[in-house]
Amino acid sequence: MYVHAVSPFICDPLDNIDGLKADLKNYTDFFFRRVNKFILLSLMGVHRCVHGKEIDKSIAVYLATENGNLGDTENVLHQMYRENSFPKPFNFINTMSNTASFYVAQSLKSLGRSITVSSKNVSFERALELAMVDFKQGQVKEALVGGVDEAVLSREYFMEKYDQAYHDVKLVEGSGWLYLTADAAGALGKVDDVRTFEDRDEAIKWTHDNAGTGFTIAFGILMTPQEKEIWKKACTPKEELDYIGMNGFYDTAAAFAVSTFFGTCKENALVHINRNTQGQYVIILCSRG
Amino acid sequence: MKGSLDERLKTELKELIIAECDLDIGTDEIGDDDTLFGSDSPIGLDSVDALQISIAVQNKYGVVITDSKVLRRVMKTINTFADYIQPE
Repeated sequence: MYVHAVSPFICDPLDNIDGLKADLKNYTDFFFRRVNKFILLSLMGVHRCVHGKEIDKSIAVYLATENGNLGDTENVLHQMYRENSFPKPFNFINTMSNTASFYVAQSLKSLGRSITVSSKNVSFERALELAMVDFKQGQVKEALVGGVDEAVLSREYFMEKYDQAYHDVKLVEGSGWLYLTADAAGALGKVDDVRTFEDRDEAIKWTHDNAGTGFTIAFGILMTPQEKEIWKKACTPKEELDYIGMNGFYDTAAAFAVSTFFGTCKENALVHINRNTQGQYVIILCSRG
Repeated sequence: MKGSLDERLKTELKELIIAECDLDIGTDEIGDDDTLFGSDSPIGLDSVDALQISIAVQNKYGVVITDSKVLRRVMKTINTFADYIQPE
């Protein structure tokens, strides 16, 4: 899968979506209404990514998300249990997981497959894996793969879910996307592999054997400082992309890391290492050229 | 006073429709006798909009409309809508 465009979009938590709506109009003339923050974030990331590109009508959309339409889910629960009312139809429809990828596909006039992928802690990695399989089988020739999540509801929830080492991390809204095709000509680089390991030593060995020299390393939020040191010592990366420390965190921030690598880093390859709560390690290997 | 004669109520309904249906227009762009739904309508609302409005009307005015045929008839124009909410 060759990477032809990227869009690492993040912003501070938004109380009001009017600014996002206005910004989006700079990238698309698609008439969107009944949308919420999650859908707007998805549209923003996608249209920044493919702005000015000729995309195929069969383009597939793989939208990875950990939490989905968090804000509207809260609205619907509030309407039902606090206001004792029926949920409002727009809010209810927008809580459904595939609504955002439907809007993305509709705004691109895509007739290809569109899918929402969620897999605890490694949603973006699973979406990339799925896209890789579809590319290898020749079922997809162009795809948008992205990770979109709203800032989590509360810092308490965040602290409960993630490692205490990140207690001071900034929580952001995020939408990172890759525009991928089967064509190498003019590409920024490619996604070489996505691998899952049950065992850390095996994962480190694979990284050592496959990443070569002079690569950038980046870590997901569940990787502890101790683990990072072990990895860096064993694999000797040239630099670390501390995208969470520098830019803030949202639940599918791995998408932000990969799109940032192709947008701004200079090294030849990126190894992104993530871990889920079951103790599996999932590695994304990308390279330039 | 019948709703169709109550300018304040009609403006309120237009504001409610614009807010609930996420329309990017002003209240002056909805005529009192404009058709609200369908392809002939200047604002082109659809059945999901109708449901959204009915829930909002229920919350705001305590008026419950559950029959979709009644809903279509009542929400034909701002004037018919206002008359249903405020018959006299």
